[in-house]
Amino acid sequence: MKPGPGSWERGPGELILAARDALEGKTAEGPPCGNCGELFAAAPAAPPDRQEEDEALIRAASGRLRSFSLELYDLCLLSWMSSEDLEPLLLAVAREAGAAGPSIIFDYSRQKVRLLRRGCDRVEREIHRLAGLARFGRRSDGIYSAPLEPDHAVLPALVRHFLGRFAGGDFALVDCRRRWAVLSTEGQLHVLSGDEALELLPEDEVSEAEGLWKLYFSATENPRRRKPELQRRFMPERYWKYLTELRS
Amino acid sequence: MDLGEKLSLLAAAARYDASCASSGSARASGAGGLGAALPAGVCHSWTGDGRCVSLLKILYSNACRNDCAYCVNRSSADIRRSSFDAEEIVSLTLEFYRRNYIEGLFLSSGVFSDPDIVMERLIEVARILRERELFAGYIHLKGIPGCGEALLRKAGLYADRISVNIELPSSHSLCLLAPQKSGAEILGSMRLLGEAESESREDAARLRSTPRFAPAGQSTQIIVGASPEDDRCIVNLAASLYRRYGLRRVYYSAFIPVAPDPRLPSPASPPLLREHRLYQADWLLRFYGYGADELFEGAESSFAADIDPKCSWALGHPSFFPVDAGRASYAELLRVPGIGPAGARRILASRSSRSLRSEDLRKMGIALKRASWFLSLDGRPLREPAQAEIVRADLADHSPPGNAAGRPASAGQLELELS
Repeated sequence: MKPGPGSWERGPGELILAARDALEGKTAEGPPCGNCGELFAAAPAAPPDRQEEDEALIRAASGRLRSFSLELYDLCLLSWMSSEDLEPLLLAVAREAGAAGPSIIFDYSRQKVRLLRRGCDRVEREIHRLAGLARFGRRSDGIYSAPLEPDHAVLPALVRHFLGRFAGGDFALVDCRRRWAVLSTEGQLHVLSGDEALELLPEDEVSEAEGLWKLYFSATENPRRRKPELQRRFMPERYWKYLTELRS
Repeated sequence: MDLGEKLSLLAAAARYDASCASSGSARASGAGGLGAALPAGVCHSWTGDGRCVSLLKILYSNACRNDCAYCVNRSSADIRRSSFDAEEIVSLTLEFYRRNYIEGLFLSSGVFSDPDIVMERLIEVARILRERELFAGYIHLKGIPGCGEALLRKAGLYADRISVNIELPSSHSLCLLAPQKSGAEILGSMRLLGEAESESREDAARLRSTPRFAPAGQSTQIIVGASPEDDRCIVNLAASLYRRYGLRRVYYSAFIPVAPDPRLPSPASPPLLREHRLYQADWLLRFYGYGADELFEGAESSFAADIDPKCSWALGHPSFFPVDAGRASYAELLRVPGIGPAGARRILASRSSRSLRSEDLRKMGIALKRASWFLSLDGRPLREPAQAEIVRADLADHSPPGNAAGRPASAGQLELELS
């Protein structure tokens, strides 16, 4: 796993600033350590003395990027979440787009565009998959918590999705691989790491709802149409570990 | 019967309905509510039959007055009967939703009483979810054939989608196999739903606060292979349902015999390949600009087993090809086997900044193995023309029915009800 931008110490802000610079044909200066409020409603804190200045910088940079091309802005955020090192590709594409116009971002015959997009597609696919496959358990403190082991650092995008779903209710997402967690409680987001993050995992007890879900899952399958290879294709086995319905 | 037994029974009774979509609505919760509906829909699991689970799909009751020969819940079947009560369904929906097992509820029912009474029960569940629990997730309600107009209109205020299943493609077959059902009644309900939906769209255009009627529209299901109608008849029916009543989806469900009956065929295995070809044709109708009448040549009335309907059309229209990848319109590109909406868009996008080479097409993810028979660049065909039989053998799809060909590669719309 790449320790850099995919981790939470640095938000996507740096990458946004660098992409803006690349767009304008500048070589990137040492970017400040910042956090982007776009994806992450409450991002991990930057050093307090620099926070304001950085946020303003990043807001301006992301505004510039978005008005140039929303597509490029999205690619920026996806690259940041990727566990592959997509940054050099992203910055190269931003430079090309700055020189030749935003439409080249859709031109798959350009090798760099194609490679960047393939990488970003993998991140996007995982976000969409986990929006469905995350399984929440109800903890005794009333928080619904989901353990995850994503290939990419997709928690920020998932947080946004589940904020809409839980509509103010308390929930937590725990990335067990990266030992990071996001907790949403009383309308506030908290980012936790290390042991503190793992403490948010659901307890092991099997609830009545879980038992009912397993019953539903086996009853809804049509035995005359069995096709397990299709099931595996849509739902790769590496995601099965936390799926209530497939645990014995 | 305890809740678990009831759930198993009434979920198994509902699994022959192929619809699982949770897409097409956008709704957020108000304060104190739960859930959201998203335009793209989300799949939450896949069962061993490879079909996605997106909704809690259950019957309110499997008791039924109708004796439809093809149906597992027909009145003459010797099975255990049971019913939920509204609170049980509400609690299951909310509990499953909070754990992220489902996007919402798909509630259908056997006709255990007067159709109005059955429909009222279904509406009551949706009403509690929306009004008392402030549930903003997805709700799909079955329209019970024969229920009153006012009830269908009321259902559409709570539900995202309403479906009335036509089940059999002709009134003759309905008469024979589902004697208590009437084709005219089913089509009447569909017409009403179509009208209510377009009225609400017009009202919403004038006044934004107008509550939307079933924002994800209506769908239906046709059973394939229980009755003698051919593919042409089914495709024509689907096309006219899309056109006349504004349906969003027609689902096709390969007939699986549930009891020996002299009126029904008894195939060794369900006609999954036929179902697959119908889905492919359905995609051509909805996303590729084909008309139903274009999909069959002359007296032909069934799709080929060896090649998909798009390849069939291409082989039957040699004068249309080759299509020049450097100049063709979006609509022309879509007619080329191996090019879908995403591929066609990519070709147009890259053409705007430079001239295309065949190498570029491959890099864009165009399936050149198929497309190269039908494409040219700068006036030169990508591949030497060959005899039709050779091309046909090359285009044959040997993969077992699974995912519909021509499905867009993006993960946007995941309605994976296919075999």
